[in-house]
Amino acid sequence: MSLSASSRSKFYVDLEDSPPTEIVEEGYAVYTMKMKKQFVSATGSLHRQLEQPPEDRACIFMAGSLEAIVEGLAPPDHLEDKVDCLHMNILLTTYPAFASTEELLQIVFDKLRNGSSRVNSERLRAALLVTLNAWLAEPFQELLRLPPEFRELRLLAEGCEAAAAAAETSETAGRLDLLARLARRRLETFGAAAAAEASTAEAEAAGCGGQGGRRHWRRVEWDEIDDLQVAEQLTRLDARLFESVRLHECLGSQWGRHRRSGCSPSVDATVQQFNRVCSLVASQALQPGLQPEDRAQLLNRWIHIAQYLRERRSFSSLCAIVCTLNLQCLRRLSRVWRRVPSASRDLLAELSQFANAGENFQAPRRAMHWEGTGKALSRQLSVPGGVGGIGSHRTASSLSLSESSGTVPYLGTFLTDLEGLHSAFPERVHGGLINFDKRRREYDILARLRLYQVTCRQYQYCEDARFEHWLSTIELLSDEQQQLLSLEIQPERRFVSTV
Amino acid sequence: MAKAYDYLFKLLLIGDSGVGKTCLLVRFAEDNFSPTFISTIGIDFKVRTIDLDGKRVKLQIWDTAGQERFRTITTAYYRGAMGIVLVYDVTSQKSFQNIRTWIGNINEHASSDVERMLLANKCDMPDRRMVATEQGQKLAAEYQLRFLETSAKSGSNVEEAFFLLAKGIKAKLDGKRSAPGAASGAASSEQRGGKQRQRESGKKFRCEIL
Repeated sequence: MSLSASSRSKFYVDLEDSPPTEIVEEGYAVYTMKMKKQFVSATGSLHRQLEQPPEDRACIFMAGSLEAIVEGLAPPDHLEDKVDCLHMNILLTTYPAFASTEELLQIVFDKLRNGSSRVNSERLRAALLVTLNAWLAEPFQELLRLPPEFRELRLLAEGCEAAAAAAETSETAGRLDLLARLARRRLETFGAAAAAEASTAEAEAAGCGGQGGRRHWRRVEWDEIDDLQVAEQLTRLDARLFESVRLHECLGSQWGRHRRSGCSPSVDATVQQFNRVCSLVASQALQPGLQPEDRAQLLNRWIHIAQYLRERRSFSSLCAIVCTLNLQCLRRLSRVWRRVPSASRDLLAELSQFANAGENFQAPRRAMHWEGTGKALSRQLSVPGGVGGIGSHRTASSLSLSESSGTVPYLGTFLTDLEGLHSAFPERVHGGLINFDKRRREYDILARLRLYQVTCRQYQYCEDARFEHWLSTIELLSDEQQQLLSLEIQPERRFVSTV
Repeated sequence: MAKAYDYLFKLLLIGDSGVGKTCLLVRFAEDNFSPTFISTIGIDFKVRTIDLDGKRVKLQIWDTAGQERFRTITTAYYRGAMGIVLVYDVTSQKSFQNIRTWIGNINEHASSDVERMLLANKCDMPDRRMVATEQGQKLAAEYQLRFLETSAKSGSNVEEAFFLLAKGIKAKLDGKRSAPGAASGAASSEQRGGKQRQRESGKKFRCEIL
């Protein structure tokens, strides 16, 4: 039994000493029965009853057939809730890992019509109506947003219409009718949005067609943009991409399967932007024909941009910039680095913690958790002289976390965690039942990403045409070109310390 | 205070996405694998301590799975790695071709004395095999890498692979600096890891005047 103090006088006891009981319904579902956490007084006397009423027991759905998972939406009878909310969230977030939208809809409508022999049909119907409603709203509607046909959304609309016609009570029919109309409305708005997107893309493609003279470096343009502007614009781009990441595409079963690359376009887009920033920094610093002083000034600027990104909790581009500045092809340019102010070099050393892979990226994770959730801010406000987390010593930087902005996390560590879960747990257990416990664990991670997606909307940076223009005219160097140019700039190949 | 191990080796799994790096790690960690998730440290892969010639060797294995396509990220992992396991999937020709790119990456960013090994994973799927054993052997010979065919699914050669790599690192360390009386602990093994690492740990990000 583990005791953990939650305050001076109260303790919560995790009754892990009472082994969970497994309930197996052959071929249908597996549950784990657990005692809920108990409240005890400071003296340690434990108010624990041997015979627990159902309210104190938690029946956790571990695995089941698709049918059982759908029926699991109905909450236990002793609860007043209309739907098992957590179960619904897990299902609607992770179902692409184990079922197609069509398969799931089929079972949902079957249960709506025919009820269930295992759970209270009335409660199940009510739960399904709530679930369909949630499916059509943020954030789950993204799963129905598959252009150009929106076939699944159409199926949902048709299913609701058919079920409404066959409904036993007028109330159910009325609610299904509303859902059908909501689905039809979504069809219209999604269709319009897709059309608008397509025409914008077309216009952009037409506009970028004839770009002559791309080999000219637009030094003047770069000098016209200040560091803060670059940081804000990179944050804007990252936030937009991160916000539109479809969470199920991050699942280990979707992302990272080399044979099925291209099946996670929203994650691909985030990775591409990350890589683009890496190329941008390296290409600029290694461009031919610059004096060491100019290069040092470029590096210095990118360090300051990184610091602005940190202040804006824009961790994706921050990580990209810091990683790139520590690449061997840049680090080895000692003659350049010598000309970078030592305060900036110290600042880079501090910021480099945000890309430190040690201990499974522990330092960046802590920082993201700490600064990304606003804890640092409240600490900064309450404790004079500092922010905890990474870099407790303030060297060259004076950190001012902007109060009103959001957070863009670095997505990579989340993907690694999801990949880890995917490899560690089987998809099917107990002779072919869907491992729902695995989905619960995945959902824990996805739910955090969803929170960050919400905070992302707090950024209020407008698109900057000059920045866009500068970005589109920069010529990006390949890895090989970077290596060659690095050796050209400083011929002798002698390794100095790297990150 | 006595340490629970005599050596601490940091190993790294590298290769294309989907080749089964995490599966190898999960298989090797087995009983010690703790699939718990803690928000600030992520999935907690417990490390495994093995016995080599009467010495306790703690293996810390890092996995880049999920982040392979973030270009510069893997380079952050190379720092301090003493052994690198390159993995390809025998059912994917592309993952085999990319091994050369990964080797180039290692040469560029990892310590020059890092111990390397090539693993051909998923050898439990003979009917879907696209890369012949000989091709793997040939590539390994070309770059002087240790080579094994493994199956994370069946467990075949997984244990052997990590032991072989650990042995290689230990032999290199013992050979490099014969330390009579065998100073023990992570610090000593890290100290033996070469000048470059030492320099890195002292002043990680500072520029050095040549």
